[in-house]
Amino acid sequence: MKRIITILCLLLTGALLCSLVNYENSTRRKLRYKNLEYPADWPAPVYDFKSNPLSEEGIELGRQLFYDGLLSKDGNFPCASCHQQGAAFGTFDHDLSHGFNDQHSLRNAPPLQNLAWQSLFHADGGINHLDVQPLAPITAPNEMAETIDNVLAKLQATKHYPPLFKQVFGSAQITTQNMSKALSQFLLTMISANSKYDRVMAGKDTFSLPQQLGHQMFMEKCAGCHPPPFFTDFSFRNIGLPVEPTLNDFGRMTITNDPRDSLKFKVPSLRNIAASYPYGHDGRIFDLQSMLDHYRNEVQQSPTTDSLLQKGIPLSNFQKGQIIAFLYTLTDSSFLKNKKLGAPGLP
Amino acid sequence: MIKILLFLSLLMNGFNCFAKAKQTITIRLEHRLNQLPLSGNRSTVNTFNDSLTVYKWQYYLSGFFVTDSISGKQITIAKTPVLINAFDTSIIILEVPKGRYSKIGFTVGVDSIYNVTGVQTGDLDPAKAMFWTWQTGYIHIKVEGNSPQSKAPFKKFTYHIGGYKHPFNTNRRITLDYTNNNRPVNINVDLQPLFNVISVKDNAGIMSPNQAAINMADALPLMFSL
Repeated sequence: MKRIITILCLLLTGALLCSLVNYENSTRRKLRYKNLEYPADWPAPVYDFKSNPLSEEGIELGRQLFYDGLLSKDGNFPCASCHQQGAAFGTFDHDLSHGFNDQHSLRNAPPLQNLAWQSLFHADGGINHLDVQPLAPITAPNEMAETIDNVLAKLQATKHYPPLFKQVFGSAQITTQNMSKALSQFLLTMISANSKYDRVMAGKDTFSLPQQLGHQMFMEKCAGCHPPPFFTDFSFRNIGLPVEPTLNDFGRMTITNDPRDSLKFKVPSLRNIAASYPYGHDGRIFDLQSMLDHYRNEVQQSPTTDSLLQKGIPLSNFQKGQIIAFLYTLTDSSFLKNKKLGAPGLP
Repeated sequence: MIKILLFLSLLMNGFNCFAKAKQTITIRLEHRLNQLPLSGNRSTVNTFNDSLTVYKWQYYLSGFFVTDSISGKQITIAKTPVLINAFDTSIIILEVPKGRYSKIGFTVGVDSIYNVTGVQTGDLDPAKAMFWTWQTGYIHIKVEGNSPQSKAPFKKFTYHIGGYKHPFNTNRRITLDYTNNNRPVNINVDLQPLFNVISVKDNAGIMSPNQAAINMADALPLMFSL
């Protein structure tokens, strides 16, 4: 009988200790969890927040990683070197971006915004989850040119990062998964939903006459592929840009091996379009005028050219001007200047 | 006394819930190059008359199952995919319910669920370099080596076979007879059938899900024998 009581006591003590340790863990971490903030009339995000709950601390860790050159081979190419806030997290004024050892990227760096609603990444859709996306530029020899192991080792060797990882993920051991999750947390907060267009739709502002006419024109002629609220339908289409013979980039077909996908690229969002020039998957079109001229006169017909562009998009000069006036209302200066999205430590 | 009985019955209950009778099956993998034990110094010749030596050979095994010898029912074994390095892994231990089994099997490759749900850990960590970063998905089997017939730099051949989506799904299921119950299962894994379906002269590199990868994947079941 005595023995049994002893066993019971031991068991109880064990259980008590266990719960104490758990309590310690949760109080030491004290994460300030938060929900993603976005307009009420937007659809639900596709990102699975249950597997990576947002916290102020996780977002901040992701921000530091995003702006840290340690993620690249020679230290010169943080994510932010190609994804610059003022260009809606594309590369300002560049067709292709610069990477390790004076190399160029294959494509125009895509602006980063409203990523929680995207399920495929890269202009060819080769990446199927936001968490795995950063591994592509990190390991691409012409971009950040690193290996995952090296990046993890470099981060682990700092005094700075292990405690932050411990706080956010409960372990100071930096892993591919936790690094990716932290980056995702920051990337997910890049929400652009406060342009003049958004304010007009919410009844808080009014379009000028050209903007209003441009809006009508846009909904009629452009929204088939660029529907609000994201101004993309996330599909892959061939807009009739001929293949560039040195880049030799056939887009979606590279991933699917299906000739029907030849020269199809992801339809880009037009939010902040005025800030994210140049345009086209390889940045060959330098301004909005030329982009609309392409749709008006230069769409190259091929078996995979989008059926909506069989006759191009007929536009008068007058209409072009109106559409451009409307596109400028998609610029969200509060996003382009949001300090929370800027480099850490800057005033 | 009643207390003791109560305690004992609780204990028994506990056993029933948590400790259903289990047994382990040990799989021993014997990696071979044309029937001889794998070695980086040994070369083999394929049906195209290419001579090949191997310096890297890794692959994933997943979806382990056994078939009950009486009911014929297939029992899936919960186990995350295992990364095998042919140059140093030789043993896998499976935990199965106690019983007698007539078949044992697994999939060469990684189930699609792990390919579409972000960054995984353990053997599936993308840092293991069995993961395509530019086109999400696992490399199911990676074989690299040299061949005088290769037209690639350094006379290398690089066969990275992967892909989880139709029409280029390279997961292949292997089923083997399992007659010696309670004994380790010795499985020979030979590269020769894989090499026999590709001409190194014509194609020294496969690095994405495509038809050439499918042709090689179709040879995977031929690699495994008892």
